[in-house]
Amino acid sequence: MGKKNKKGHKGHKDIHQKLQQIPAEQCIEQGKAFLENGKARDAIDALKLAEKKNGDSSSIRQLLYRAYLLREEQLRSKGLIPEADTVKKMAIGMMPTADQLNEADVLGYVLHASVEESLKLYIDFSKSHSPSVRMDQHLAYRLMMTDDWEPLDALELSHPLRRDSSPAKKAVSLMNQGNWEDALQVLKVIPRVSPYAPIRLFCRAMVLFYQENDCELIQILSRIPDDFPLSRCIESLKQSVGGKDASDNSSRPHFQSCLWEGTSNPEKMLADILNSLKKRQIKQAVFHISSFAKTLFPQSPDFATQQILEALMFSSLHIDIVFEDFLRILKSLLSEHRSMLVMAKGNLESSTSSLEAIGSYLPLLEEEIPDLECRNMVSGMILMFAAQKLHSEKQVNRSIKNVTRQFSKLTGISEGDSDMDQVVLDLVIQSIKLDPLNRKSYDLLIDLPRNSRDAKESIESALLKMSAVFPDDPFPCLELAALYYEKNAFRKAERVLAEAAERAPHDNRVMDRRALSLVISACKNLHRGKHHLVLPDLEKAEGFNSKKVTPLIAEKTALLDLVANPEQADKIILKNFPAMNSIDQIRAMGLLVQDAQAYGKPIASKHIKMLEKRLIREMKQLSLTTTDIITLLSPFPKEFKPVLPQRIVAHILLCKRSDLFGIIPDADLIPTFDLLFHQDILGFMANELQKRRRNKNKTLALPMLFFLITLRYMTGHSYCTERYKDVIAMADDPMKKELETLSKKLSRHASGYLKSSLEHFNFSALEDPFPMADFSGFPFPDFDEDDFDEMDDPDKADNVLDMLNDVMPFMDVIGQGMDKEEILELVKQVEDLVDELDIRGLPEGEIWEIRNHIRSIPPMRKMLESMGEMMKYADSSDLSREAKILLSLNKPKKKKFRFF
Amino acid sequence: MLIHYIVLGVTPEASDEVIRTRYLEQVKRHTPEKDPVRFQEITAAYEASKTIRKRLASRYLPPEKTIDVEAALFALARAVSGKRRRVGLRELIRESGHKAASGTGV
Repeated sequence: MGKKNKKGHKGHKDIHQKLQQIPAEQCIEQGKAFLENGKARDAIDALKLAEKKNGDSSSIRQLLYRAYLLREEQLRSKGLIPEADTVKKMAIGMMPTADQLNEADVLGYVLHASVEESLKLYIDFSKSHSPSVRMDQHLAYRLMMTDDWEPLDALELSHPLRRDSSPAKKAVSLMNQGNWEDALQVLKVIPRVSPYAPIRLFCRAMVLFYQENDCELIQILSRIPDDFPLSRCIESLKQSVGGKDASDNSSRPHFQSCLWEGTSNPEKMLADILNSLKKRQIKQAVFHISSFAKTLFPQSPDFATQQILEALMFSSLHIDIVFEDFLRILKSLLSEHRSMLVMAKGNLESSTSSLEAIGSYLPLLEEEIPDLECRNMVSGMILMFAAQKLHSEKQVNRSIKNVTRQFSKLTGISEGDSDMDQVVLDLVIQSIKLDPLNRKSYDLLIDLPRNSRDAKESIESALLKMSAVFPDDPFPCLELAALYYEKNAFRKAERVLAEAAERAPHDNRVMDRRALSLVISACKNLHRGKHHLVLPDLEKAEGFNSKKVTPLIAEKTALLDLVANPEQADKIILKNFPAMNSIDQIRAMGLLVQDAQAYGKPIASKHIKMLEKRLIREMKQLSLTTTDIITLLSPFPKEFKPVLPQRIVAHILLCKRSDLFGIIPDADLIPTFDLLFHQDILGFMANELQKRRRNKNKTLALPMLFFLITLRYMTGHSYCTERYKDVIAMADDPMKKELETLSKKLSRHASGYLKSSLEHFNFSALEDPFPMADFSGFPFPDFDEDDFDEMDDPDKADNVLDMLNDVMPFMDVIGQGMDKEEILELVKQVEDLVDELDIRGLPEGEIWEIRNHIRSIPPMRKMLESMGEMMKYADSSDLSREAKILLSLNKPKKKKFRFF
Repeated sequence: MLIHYIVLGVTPEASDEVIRTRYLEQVKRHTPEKDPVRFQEITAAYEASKTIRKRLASRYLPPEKTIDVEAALFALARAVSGKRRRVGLRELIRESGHKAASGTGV
């Protein structure tokens, strides 16, 4: 700095020496040039020299006066007020007579002179010059700045400055108090041409600033003249509320503390927090978090601290915080109870055992929420959260019995429960008990598997409760009806549907369900052979004009006709389907073919072939878009389950027209497959992907290959995880991101280890998913070591297996000789095994996967084969889908699934 | 949750009624035509905190989505930076570095 001053001083000295050598005229010219360039000191030097050389002249004095005024302004802007005042005195000494001054000279003077002096000069100046609006405005600014209105008496009454002074004076007084709104009201009487008009504009800007009307504020600020004395404030306002990022503090350096609350800078404080966390500076982090919380939310800094810590905790994966550091910070900033609360909340999200997490969270609420109603609400929500997590993640809990025993009282789980589905159901039921108004609980409740009688009863009682809690809502009635249909309690279902109709007679959902109930009744009568009762029900169903159920009604009417007159199969379609659009027609035809295949006599295979021919003909005539294909192949709504247990028509349609997927453009293929994803058509999808991925560039081929590998894994055709790694290795960074997104999407269709791997886009867990060779360590979902107590005794297990091996050769004889009770007992045992393995409801591919792994253990393979042999003599319709797959001795036939 | 309270200018203990009143005050001031971004922020804050159920859920349940902590905390910092301080003309003049209202010149 000193060096710079020294340099400046030397330069100034040089100029002075040069000036001394030139004539007076040149000095004057040089002075003018310095003045124009804002070099006041050099200008003063040059002009003083000129005065010395040339003698006193009015032109030099005028220039010197301007140079002094400029210097005064410069000194004031540097805060050198006494020096500026001295220079001003010198300027006054040099001041020419008013008639020699121009407007700029007067304005320069007015800027820092008292109002009295300014007005005196202004009056003198006005005598020899025409009136100046700009000068009037500057005097008005001066009046505002000094709040000294008395000298105005020197002006005539009609002068704009005096005429409008009364409201202006009152307004300035209000503005001084910060009452900008009232001041603006007072200034309303001031005309636009008044010299006080810019003051009114500024006042309006301030009102808009407090109204946070930033768009209008920017407009008003742009209309305020540039020479307004508070121009720095205006600039600051423009920058801070305008286009510039509010976090950029350089935009409001002088007015930060003046116009904005909080003397500190929250953005900087936040940067300090993150920085100290990254550097593992615990003490600094604690200090910064505490200050940040106080700045953010002075009303409740503790609450803010907790919220900041929670935000850090839930994203600790994304920023580099060492967990131990976080714990230390937590303990330093929060009380023990609050720390435990934060940790419990974090555990609920991240723990692999949701039951243990809620076990540690719920007891803390008693102290936290004294109000019982609120506490119950929160407890209900926490139970719901855990239930949802358990349900969606299919968490593995090897010691579920111990956990359920431990937390049964707290969570409402039956003590020693070993079935995870039952645990989830118990949690939801308990959540409903605590918080019956939480609709989300009921939504989850109806999504849960309800295979056992106990589960159905629990769900029924919860829905009845909901029906009472929400007396105007038809939803619980509709869901109860669906449940009653599952239980074959038709009368109850119809009664509850009638109640739904009373609650919401015009609700489309109610109309659809009522129409569907009549279709269910018609189907029942059709299968019982009471054909005369079928048509009236279907006609009544048609009367509801339910768009959703129309294809089903048409298909059932066609089926009735077909049963009555199978020879007319071809005409039946023409007769029953024309009212629908072509897509619905094809879907209904597909259903009809499926129903006809399952019906048996009098419908023979030749009749079915006639139907199939018709279906193929109609499908060939269709020209389809991607959207049409999605509509065509989508499953039927879940409400149709009582009449269509599988709810899918896609398989038969793809069998009849295998090129359907070929219509879909490359770019739409993966999104379409994602939408249509269903176990029954995975083979068709895989074929299409296999065909397309060849001869494609990387951008298209890699996602297709990734999809294909996942399909192969799901269907049990390949467990080669190296393929995932190969695909990822081939991808560049943007493609990796795309694959990650696809992986997350696909995880919705998967379960178990594959789901978790797809979710995290990390496939190392798949490399050795079944690491333990012994059966007790089988990592199936919810597999409990205790469940296989019998197998723990090697002698006993060997005995069972030996016994089964011994009976194998005589199996045919045994099977033929089994009575009905023995067969039922065998079915029960197989179903029990299905439940133990927790494979009920899993996608077919996954059951195959689990079955294959069980069969890889020789003793288990023998056991399954034995059971399978015996089951040949039982009625296969008694067995569940899962049991059938588990006992199948061969892999699925290629024809059925059309795998690779 | 904190950001919603900051945007609406309420405390965590505020009742449904207080929150609604503050919301209406704010949207009157920041209409969608004049200040669409601010209007959206206020509406989002109100929607997320208008009932005791929502407030309790966001206070005691883990967040539904993975949060980007830096973005979330910077949003908080920005929200608090937006609070405007009521100031008088004299203070602005002083802050601008102009000579105080002495009424006298040199």
